[in-house]
Amino acid sequence: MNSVKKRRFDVQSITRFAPVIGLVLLVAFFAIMSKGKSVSTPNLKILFNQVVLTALISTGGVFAFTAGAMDMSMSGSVCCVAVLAAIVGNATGSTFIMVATCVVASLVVGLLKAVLSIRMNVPTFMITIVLGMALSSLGNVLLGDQSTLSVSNLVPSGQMTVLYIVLLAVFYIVATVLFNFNVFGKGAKIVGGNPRAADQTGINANRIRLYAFLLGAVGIALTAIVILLRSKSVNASTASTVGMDMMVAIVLGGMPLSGGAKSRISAALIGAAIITVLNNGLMVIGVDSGSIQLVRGILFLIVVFITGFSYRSNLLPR
Amino acid sequence: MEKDVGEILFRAEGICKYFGPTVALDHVDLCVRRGEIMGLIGENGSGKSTISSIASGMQPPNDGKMFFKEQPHNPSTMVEGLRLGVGMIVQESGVVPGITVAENIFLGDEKKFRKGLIVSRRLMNQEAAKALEQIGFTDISPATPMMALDIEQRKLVEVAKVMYAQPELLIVDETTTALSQFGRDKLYEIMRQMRSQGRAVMLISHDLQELMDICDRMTVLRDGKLIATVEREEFEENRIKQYMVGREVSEHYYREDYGTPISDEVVLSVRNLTTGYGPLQNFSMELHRGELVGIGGLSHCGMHELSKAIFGDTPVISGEVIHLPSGDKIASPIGAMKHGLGYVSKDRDKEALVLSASIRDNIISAGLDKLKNKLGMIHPRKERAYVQAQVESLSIKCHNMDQAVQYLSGGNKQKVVFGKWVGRDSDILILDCPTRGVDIGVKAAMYQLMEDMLAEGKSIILISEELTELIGMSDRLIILKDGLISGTFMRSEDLAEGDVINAMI
Amino acid sequence: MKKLIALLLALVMVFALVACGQTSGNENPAAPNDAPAAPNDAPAAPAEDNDGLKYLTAGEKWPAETVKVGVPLYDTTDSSAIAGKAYFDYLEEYLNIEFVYSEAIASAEDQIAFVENCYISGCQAIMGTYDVIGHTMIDTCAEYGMYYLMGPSNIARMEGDLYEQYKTNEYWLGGYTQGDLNYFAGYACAEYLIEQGVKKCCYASGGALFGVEMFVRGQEGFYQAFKDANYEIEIVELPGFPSDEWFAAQANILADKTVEAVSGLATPNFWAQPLANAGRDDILLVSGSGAFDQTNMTAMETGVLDFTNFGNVEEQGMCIVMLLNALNGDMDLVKPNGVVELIDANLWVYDNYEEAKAVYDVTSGTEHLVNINDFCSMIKALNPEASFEGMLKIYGETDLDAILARHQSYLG
Repeated sequence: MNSVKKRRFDVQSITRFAPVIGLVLLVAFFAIMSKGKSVSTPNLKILFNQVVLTALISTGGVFAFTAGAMDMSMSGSVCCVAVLAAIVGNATGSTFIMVATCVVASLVVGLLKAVLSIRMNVPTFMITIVLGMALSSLGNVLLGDQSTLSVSNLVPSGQMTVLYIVLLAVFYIVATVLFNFNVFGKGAKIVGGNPRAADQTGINANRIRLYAFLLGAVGIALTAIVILLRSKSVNASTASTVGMDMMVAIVLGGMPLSGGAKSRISAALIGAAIITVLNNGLMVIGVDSGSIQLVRGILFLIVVFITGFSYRSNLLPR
Repeated sequence: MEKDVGEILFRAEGICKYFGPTVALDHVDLCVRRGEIMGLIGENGSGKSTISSIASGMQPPNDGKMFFKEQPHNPSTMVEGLRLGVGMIVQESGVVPGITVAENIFLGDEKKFRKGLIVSRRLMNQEAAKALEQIGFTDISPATPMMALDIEQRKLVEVAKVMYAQPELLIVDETTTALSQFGRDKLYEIMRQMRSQGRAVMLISHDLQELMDICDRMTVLRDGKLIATVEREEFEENRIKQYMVGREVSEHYYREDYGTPISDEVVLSVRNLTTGYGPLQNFSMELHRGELVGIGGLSHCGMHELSKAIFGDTPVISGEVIHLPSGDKIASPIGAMKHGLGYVSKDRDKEALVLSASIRDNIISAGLDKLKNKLGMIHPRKERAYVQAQVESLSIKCHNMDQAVQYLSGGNKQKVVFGKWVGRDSDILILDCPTRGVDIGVKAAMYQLMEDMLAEGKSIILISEELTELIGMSDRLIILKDGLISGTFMRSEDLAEGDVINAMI
Repeated sequence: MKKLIALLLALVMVFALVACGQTSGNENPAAPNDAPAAPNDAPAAPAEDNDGLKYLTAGEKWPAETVKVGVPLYDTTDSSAIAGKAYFDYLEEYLNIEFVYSEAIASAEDQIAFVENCYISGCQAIMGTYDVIGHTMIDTCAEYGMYYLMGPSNIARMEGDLYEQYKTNEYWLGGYTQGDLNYFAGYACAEYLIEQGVKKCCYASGGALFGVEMFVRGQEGFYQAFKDANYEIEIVELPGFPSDEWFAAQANILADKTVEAVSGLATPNFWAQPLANAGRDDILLVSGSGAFDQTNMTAMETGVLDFTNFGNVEEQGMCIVMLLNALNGDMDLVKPNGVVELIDANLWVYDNYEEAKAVYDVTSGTEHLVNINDFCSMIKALNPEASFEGMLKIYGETDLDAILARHQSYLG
C-alpha cells in the first residue's frame, strides 16, 4: 500500500491480544458468577496446581510445532518416562535418581523423535502418532502385572505449589528467551513458515528440529516429574490427556498448530491458563459435567471459526 | 451478436474497499463500454486487482454500487459473476492441480454431464475439447491431469474455462506475465474477437507498453484512487507513467556506463555444470569481481535451474561451483552463504519469503549468523537496527517492520527479499528475475541498487526473461538455448535486441 | 473490528450458555465452604405415616445444610455408573444431598484436579468409584479437609501395608467395596457349571489379556473353583473384545458341537444374539458380574441367559450413610473399632428368571431394595437406635422377601 490511513483500532494487534483478553474476560466472568470464590486464595493455589502440567508440556512442545513438526507423541512420552522413573526410583529408593531418570529418559525420547523426524521422509505427525502409541505401550509393558505403581515413599505428601510455580517460571523464561531472542527460535519460525525459504536462506532445518525436540524433551521431563509429585503414582493411563490438552492450549493461546511465523511462546501459557480457568470456573459456579463438555465444545468451535475466518480474509487479493 | 457499440456495459460508482487499516479502494468510479478493450493500469498495490475482484464477485465492496447491463450488479461469488456475464482470469493460478483439464473447466458444473448417478467422462471431455478449440488451444487433451501442464498451459485452460461461459465482460488480471508470446497472442486474439463482437474486455496490467499496444482506453489507478482515464489518441508513455507514479519519471533507468574495465579477479567459477532438473548441460562461466553477468533465454532454457545450482540449492549431476578466493566448492545454500553468496529466487512467494512472517523476521532470517553472539542470542536492539537500515535504504513502504509481508505489494515484497541479502552484505548476488511483477518505480530503484553494488566491487549474476533489462544491465550476457550456451555478448551500446533474440531461438 | 465483534459475540454466547446451564443445574448454590462441618443440631422430629416416610418430614429435606459429594467417574457411560446415578437421584429427592459428577476422567492427574475443583465448589466429601490411586486420593482429600470414601472397585489397591498405613487417617471414612466381587463372580459361574455337569466350556476372558484387573480376577476365580472342586473340564479361552478376529473365533466355537456352555464376565452383550443366530439354544450362557439391566432380564426371560450374578449398585449408598453419620459426629457408626472398615459387596446370584425379575422390579422401580426409610434408619441423627451392625445387616440382606418385610415394618 502506498498510502495508509490509520484507523482508530489496529485490528492486527487486537487479534494478537485476543487470547489474553479472552482469559481476562473468563477470569472476570467466573469471579462475578462465583461471587469472588473463583479468585479466592485457595482457588488461586488450586489453579496454579492445575495449570502447571499443561503449561510445562506446551512450553516445551511449542518449539516443535513452530518448526512445523506436529508432535503427537507427548502423552506417550510422558507416560513412558514417568513409569520408567517410578520403577527406577522404587528400585533404588532414591528420589534424586528418579528425577534424574526422568531427565535422561526424556532426552533419549526427544533424540529418538528428532532422528526419526529428520531421517524418515514421512510427515512428523504420522511418525509421532505411531511413536506415541509405541511409548505408551512400552510404559504398559514396563508396569507388568502391576496396574498402578506408587511412589509415595519417594515424594513428600501434599501439593508443592511453590515448587511447581518455580519450575514453570524458570522453564518458561528460558523458553521465551530462546524463542524470541535466539537464532534457534527465529529459525524455527522460518522453517515452520516456509521450509523452502528456510533452505534458501541457509537455515539448517535439521538442527532446528533436533533442538526443538530436545526442548520438548525438557518439557516432557518436567511434566513427568510434576505428575510423579502430584499423583504420587503411575499407571497406564498416566498423562493420557496431556497431549490433547497441549494442542488445545496452543490453539486457544492463539497459535496455529501448523506453526510458522504466527507461532508464539505465550500461547503455551495463556492457552493452558484458559483451559484450566474454564474447567475450574465452570465447576465452581456449579455447572454440571455434561454442560461443561458442551460449553467447552462450543468455545473451541468458536475459536476454530475465528481462526478460519482470519485465514480466509488473508487469502483474498488486493 | 452485434450490440450497440459504445453503450456502457459495466459501471462502478464510488467503490470503497478496506483491508484492516489499509484503504485499498477509495471511491473509485469507472465504466467499460461495449466493443472496447479497457486497460486498467497502476503500480502494485494501486488497487487494480481489488476492483477487478470486486467486479467479478470474488469479494464484496465495503461501499459503492455496480451496474452491469443497467442492472445492479452484486455477485456474491465468482461463479455467480460468471453466470451474470462477468468472467475473470485471475492473477494467481485459479486451477485445481489434482484433476484433469476437463474437470477443471467444468468444476462445479459436473451436473451437466450426469447420466443417472454417474458423470459421463466422455461427454465432459468432448465438451472440454470444444471449449479449448474455441480459444484455439488444441495442443492438449482434455483428459490430461492438470499437474502435467506447465504454468502457461494451465493459464490457457483457465481462459478456456472462462470463455466457455461466453462472458459479456472479460476481465484479464495480470495474466500475460505468466504467458509466452504464443500464449499472449492467443489471449490478444480472444480479446480482439470479443471487441469485434460488441462485448468488452478489462485488461489489468502494470506493463504500460502492453496496454498501449492493445487497449482503446486506459484508466490509471494510484493508491486506491482513480487518477485519470486516457483515450487511445492521447496515449503518451511519459504522461501515463507520471500518472502512475505520481511524480516526474526520470529517463535514467538502466546503467549508462559503457566500457568500464572489469577486474581480472575471478570470484566464482562454474565448471561443466549439468543439473539434475532442467535441460542445463555442461555449463561453464567465470564471474569477476564487480561484474554483472546476465543470463537469458527462453523460459525452458535451463537458466532458472542454473541459478539454483550455483547457490547449491538443486542437485547437480556433474560439474562444480568454486568460490575462488577460498577455493571451496559450493554444495549447499549454507556453504554458499558462508562465502558471501546471496540468492533471489524467481518464485518470490513460494521460495524467498515467509508470507505470514513480518518484514523483520524475513529480513533477519538470512542474517542470523551475522547477528548472533556465541550463545546464538540476538539482541533485539541490534536486530531492529539491522532491519531498520534495510527498510530505510530500500525505502520499503510499510506501517512498521512487524507488518506481515503478505500485506505488502509485489514490489515491496521484492525489496524485502533484497533486504535479506543486502543486509548481510553479500558479495555475490544471484538474482533470478528480480524485477518480475514489480512496478516501474521499484524497478528503477533495483537497477540503481545493482549499479551501486557493482561500484562497491560486488558481483551479480542476473537471470532474466526481459531482454531490454539484460542488455541494459549486463557487462557480459550469456544466452542459453535448450540447456546449452548459444551466444555470449559483451556490453556495448551497439548491442541490438535482434542479435540476442537470434541466439535464443 | 469485525473480528473483535465476532469475538465478543462469541464470548457472550458462551456465557449465556453457562448461565443457562447454571440455572438448570444448580438449585442450591449456597453450599457451605468450610468442610467438613459437623452440624450437631437436633434432627427434625420424625414424622409418622407421612407419605410413607418414617424418619423424615415430607417436603422438608434433611440435613438443613446441603451436603455436597464429589463423584469422580472413569466411564460416564458405564451401566453401573448410570444405575448408581439413578439411585443417588432417588436419595437427592428426600435428602439435602448434592452429587457432583466428573466428566470421564482419563488419568490420575485429572482426577486430582477434579477433587481440587470439588473442594472449591464446596464439596465435603469425595466418593471414589474406580480409584487406582486410593492413597493419593486420601492424601489429596486430607490436604483440603474433605472426607474420602471408597466406592466400588477400590479395595485391591488399599490392602496390606497401604491399608495399615492409612487405616487411622481421620479423613478416610472407609467404604463399600466391590474389591473382589469379580473373583467371586467368576467363582460362582464355575460352581454353576460344575452343578450342571458341563464337560467342555468356552471362557470369554475379555480384558484379562491386557491386564484389566476386573477380568483378571474374574478369570482367576473361575479357574480356582474347578481346582477347589477337583473337577475335570475342558476350557476353550476366547480373550479380548469383539473385532473381526474375535468374531471369527466366536463362530468357530459356536460351530463346535461339543461346547456345552459359554461363560465370562457380562457375556450376554456379545453372546446372546450370536447364540440365537447359530441356533445353539443347547449352550448354557453363564454370566458373571453383569449389570442388572433390561438386556440381562430379556436374555433370562427368553432362556438365552441361564445364570447370572451381579453386584447391586444401591450398596454404594452405604458410603453416604457413613458420610452423614460422620458429619453428625457419630464416628462410632463409621469406625466402630477406630479404624477404617471396608465392607465387601454382596454377590446376587440367580439361575431362574422369576426370582431375578422380582428383584429387578424392585430395584428398577420407585421403591428400591434399600429405600429411603432403610437409609434413614441407619443414620443416628434420625434414628437414635441406629448402629454399625444394623447397617451391615441391612446391606448384607439379599433375600427379597426379607427386604420387602423390612420395608413393610416402617409403615406398620
